[in-house]
Amino acid sequence: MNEGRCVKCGSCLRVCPVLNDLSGSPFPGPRTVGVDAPRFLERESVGHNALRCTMCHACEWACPSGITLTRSMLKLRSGMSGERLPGHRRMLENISSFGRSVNTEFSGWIEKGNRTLYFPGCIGLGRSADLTRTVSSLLTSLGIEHDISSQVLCCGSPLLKIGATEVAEDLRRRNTEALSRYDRVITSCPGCTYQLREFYGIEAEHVIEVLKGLDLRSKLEGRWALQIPCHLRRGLSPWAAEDLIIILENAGVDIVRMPQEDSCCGGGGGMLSGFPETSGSIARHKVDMYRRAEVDGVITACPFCSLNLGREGLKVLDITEAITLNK
Amino acid sequence: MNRVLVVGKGAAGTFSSWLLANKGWEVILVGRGTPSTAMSTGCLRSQPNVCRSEIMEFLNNEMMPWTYGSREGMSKIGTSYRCWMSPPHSTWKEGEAPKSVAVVGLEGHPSLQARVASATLNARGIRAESLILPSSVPSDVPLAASLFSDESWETLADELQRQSAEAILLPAMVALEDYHQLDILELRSGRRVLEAITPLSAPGQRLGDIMRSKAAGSGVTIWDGRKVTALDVRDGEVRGATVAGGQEVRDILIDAVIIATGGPLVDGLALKERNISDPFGMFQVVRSNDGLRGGYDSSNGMLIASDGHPMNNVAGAGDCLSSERREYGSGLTEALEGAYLAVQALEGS
Repeated sequence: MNEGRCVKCGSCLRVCPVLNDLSGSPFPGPRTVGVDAPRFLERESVGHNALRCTMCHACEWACPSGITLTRSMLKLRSGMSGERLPGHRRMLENISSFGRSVNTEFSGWIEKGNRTLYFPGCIGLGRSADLTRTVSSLLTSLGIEHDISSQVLCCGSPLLKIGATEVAEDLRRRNTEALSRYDRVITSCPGCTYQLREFYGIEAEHVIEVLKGLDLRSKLEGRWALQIPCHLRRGLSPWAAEDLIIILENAGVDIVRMPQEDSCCGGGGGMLSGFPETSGSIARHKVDMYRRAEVDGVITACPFCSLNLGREGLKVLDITEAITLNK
Repeated sequence: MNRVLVVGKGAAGTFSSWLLANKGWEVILVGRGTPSTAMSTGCLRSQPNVCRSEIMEFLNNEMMPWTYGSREGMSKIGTSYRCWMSPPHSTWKEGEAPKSVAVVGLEGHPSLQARVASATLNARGIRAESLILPSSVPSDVPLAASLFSDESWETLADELQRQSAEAILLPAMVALEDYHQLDILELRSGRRVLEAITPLSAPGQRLGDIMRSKAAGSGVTIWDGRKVTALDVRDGEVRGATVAGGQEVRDILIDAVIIATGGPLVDGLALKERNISDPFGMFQVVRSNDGLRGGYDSSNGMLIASDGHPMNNVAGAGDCLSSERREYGSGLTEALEGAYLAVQALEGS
């Protein structure tokens, strides 16, 4: 890896959402875990601290030396021994029971042999089933006939985040056949999109890429802030994150831009299941900030952001819930 | 079409972008990572010889006014710092040093080493005592004013009122949008409030924020977190560039380029003897045993290609250029002046 390039400037510390959440976690910070631990062979002493990162990539963006801190931390996670966190054990149990990272009781499967697959991801098949229905009918209104396949399991992204590399690999093997039936895969979760591209070599599209350039309008009233998903902006493509804003503005939504709109909600990297108190604390601070700005709610494009900010009582909409096709 | 690509979002990159946008160019500014401008002390040590008024206009910001002239301040270890341009709470006019200072440190936090600073100040003939306040901020977490509530600012003002010292030296921690807190603290405490000169901290961040917002305000398109991976060169001219961000890669057409990729950072020039590898493999690189002088070779602002000829539409600015005369502490001013010259070179080409 490239940890040896560290110039000890501390830019990563300044932007880390976990480190700067004082009420939250005893995370020693991205430099200790992502740079020093792998270099100085202190892997053993890092322990669970390697799991206290939301994988938001903010440290990587801030690093002047181009160190891939997130990748370093992922590698540490995959080599971790010792007992798993209770939330991560539950995730593994869910995978062996349902093939998905959360308990899903989805009933809206569409299995008509369409050549396009809508891949809602585990959250979309569980707690955010309403969102899945919204995305599905939006795709239909755009003339994109699609399946939602019960045969397709978790993409494996959350498993990589908790260091269960073999389980993620096993899921990829089990998904290969079901995915091979489709020419086009559309997702509504940036984490799934990233995983499908990086791990499966499938050119999956996030729904933002489908909506880009279309004639859309919005019925939303009031002032709306943004929660720009980490894995959209710093994972998939910063241009796609800019498209999120352009789509909403063109649809006539009154968007309030805020400097912290692209900072992590706290919901990523296995933190929501592993360290729910820290996830909650980061989300609460973000929600307080949105409330101080007196916005009516927040628009995002990631089910984890929706879930994590939504549970703090803020009105959170996915982009697909904010717009409709202009007919 | 007059579309220019500027590579690097530090002082040279943002200033040249701003100048070009004001002259009607369509500017795309690409950069990744924190530029060394944002790691500086946030002051200009040496006075610019060219384009002084443009620099002053570029850095002008309503949230934080500047002071100019022979200015002097105190570092976070109590040593003296001289500069030409600084934020108002960082320095005083030479000859008007405070006679007594209370140095505020935070228990267990390295942001201002109050005892060391007091000892240094006493040795310099400035009466100083340290005031160590309790703090809940862990030593790893960079100190930021945003960590404090309005209440804690009031408590601090009350605490400072009890001090007999004429001035208070605080750790550098206020972001641009919080700068007014220092004025309020000065009013409430009745003491001159000074912010310690500290690199790798809030003052450099503020300078970077001002430059960036000025560039954005003049219509520059800023492509954060993206990297120029290749330039398309034909007949001594750059025609296009490849830009990568996340998993996406885009090819764009351009009419001109300013390279302002910086100096002592690994992705700009290598740390080790500035033995740079040109990421584009097309410009002449001057190697030097003097660590401060290596870099790209240029002629009247235009970069020289590997074949020895100056490029028609590629200018360079800032710390990535080789330099014959670089002096310690002159980097920021030189970067800004160099950006001005690079823009003139492009306009004249």
